[in-house]
Amino acid sequence: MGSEELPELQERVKRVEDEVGKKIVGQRGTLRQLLVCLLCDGNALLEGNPGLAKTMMVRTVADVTDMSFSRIQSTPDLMPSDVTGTEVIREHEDGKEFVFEPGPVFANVMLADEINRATPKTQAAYLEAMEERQVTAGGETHMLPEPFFLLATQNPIDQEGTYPLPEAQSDRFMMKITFDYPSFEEEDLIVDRYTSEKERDIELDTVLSAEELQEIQEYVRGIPVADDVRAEAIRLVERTREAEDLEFGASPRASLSLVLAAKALSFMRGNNYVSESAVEKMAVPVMRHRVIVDFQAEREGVTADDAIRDLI
Amino acid sequence: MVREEVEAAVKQIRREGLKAAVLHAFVESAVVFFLALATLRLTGVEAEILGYSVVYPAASAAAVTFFFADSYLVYRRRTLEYFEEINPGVREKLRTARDAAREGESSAAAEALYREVLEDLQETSSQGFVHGRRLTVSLALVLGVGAVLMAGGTGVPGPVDLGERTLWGEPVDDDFGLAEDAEDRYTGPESGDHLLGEGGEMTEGEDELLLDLRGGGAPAPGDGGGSAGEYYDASFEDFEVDAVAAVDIYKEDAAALSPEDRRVVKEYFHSVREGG
Repeated sequence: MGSEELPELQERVKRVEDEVGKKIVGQRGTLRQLLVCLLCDGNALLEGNPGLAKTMMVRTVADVTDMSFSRIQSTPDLMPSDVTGTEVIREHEDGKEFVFEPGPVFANVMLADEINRATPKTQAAYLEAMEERQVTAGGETHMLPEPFFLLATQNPIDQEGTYPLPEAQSDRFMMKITFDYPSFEEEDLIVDRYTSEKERDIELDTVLSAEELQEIQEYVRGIPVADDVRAEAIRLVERTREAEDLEFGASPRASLSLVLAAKALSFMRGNNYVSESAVEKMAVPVMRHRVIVDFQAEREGVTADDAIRDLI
Repeated sequence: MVREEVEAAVKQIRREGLKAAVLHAFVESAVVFFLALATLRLTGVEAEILGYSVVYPAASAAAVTFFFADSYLVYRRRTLEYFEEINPGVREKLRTARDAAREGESSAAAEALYREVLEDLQETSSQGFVHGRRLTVSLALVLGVGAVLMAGGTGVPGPVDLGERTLWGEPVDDDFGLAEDAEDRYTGPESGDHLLGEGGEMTEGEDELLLDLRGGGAPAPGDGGGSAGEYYDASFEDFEVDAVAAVDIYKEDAAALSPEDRRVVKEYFHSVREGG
């Protein structure tokens, strides 16, 4: 990809935002974080109260980027094979044979709704697919399509009967994106829009192909980072390990994700370099699920976001 | 190719920093030289080595030392980071391009960044490397201290009282060379008035001289006495021995004649005799 195409590709990403905006009212910051994740070829944990359009946003992004989409509602009785697929017996003229039937994980964008309701065994199946980009069934390895994104939602309330993701597994999500309640004006618009027409009636244009997205991902990885900016990102992650309010700090994987996310945000800003502000902007979504707030601080109302912001 | 251009641009920025550092150091070392000179004189340092005053060498050494030290220190501050500070528009991208070029990055994004930085550098300036206020103050100090030194050198009363010696180590000439012993000290041209004395009105000069020429005891021509030949013969013979007696003028007047006047009278008589 020549650099002459850069403005055009940046414009396409901008158009993705605009197209998604046709369905999703507000939540621009959240959407941008989600796109950052896609540009980094990363996976995201989406957290928000019910009814905040988490699923709709993911599905809409998949629609406008011309990627296949699948969704699984996680439940305690969900089995790993329900996610990855399984071997089934098929009858042919020559007889019967085992044939691998791909599960919903074989899509470009997979939404695992309420992942914390699945058992740890099933969660591990998700995470293996997310990490390895392949699944093994019946002794055979099957590659997942490229690009592949696993977007999992969590419900911060109603935790009874859930299986919270272990730290080691949540660390594999590049970002944790939180959804806030819309403002009054935004909610008014939502009510007006969806009481006068149905969601499926809103037509969306496909503005970015999966191939183009992969080209952009390659471009984003090539964005240079100044030594001191990279050093500052690493120092920021290091500080979480020594922070008074944090019992458990972020891993080196957080440093990788932070720099990469800053690159993607810089691309979306139209820059071919990573600014300090981009690193700072990405610090909270990249690290909030990788740290554990100290009990004392938590009792005083300090959240992971607060503790990280204090370190910036 | 573009990466090399960025590296060259970074080197050029560093060279500009060095130039600015040398400029600052040069002006400031001039201030140090003058201040050192004044300080040494004010403190009365009169040390000599082999008969030569060490004041100038000491001040020069201080200035040279300061020049190199200041050049180094200023150059250290006039780094690429300083250039970025004074050109905030290119700060982050220039820093990134510098690091990327050093590491040999050649991704599409890096190449685009190099081109972008080179374009931006054409619109930036390294003038900020020269600290205008500091340079102005330094120049003012050079001029001010220089003026004081010049005043001290000519003995004109100035803000610095140097006692009996100028900053150049010479005795102060308070009377501008008009003291009694000034003539002995001074060997250069003098004023015309001083040589000729006071002026006055002059009468018109004349080269005619009226003499009463008479022989000893003989009557003058027309007096009814002896003949004219006798008169002349008697007087001219004796004139060269004693012209005053020969011409019979008043003794006191003859004695007042200068040798030059006597020579004129003598020539006159010769001309009369030869003409007669």
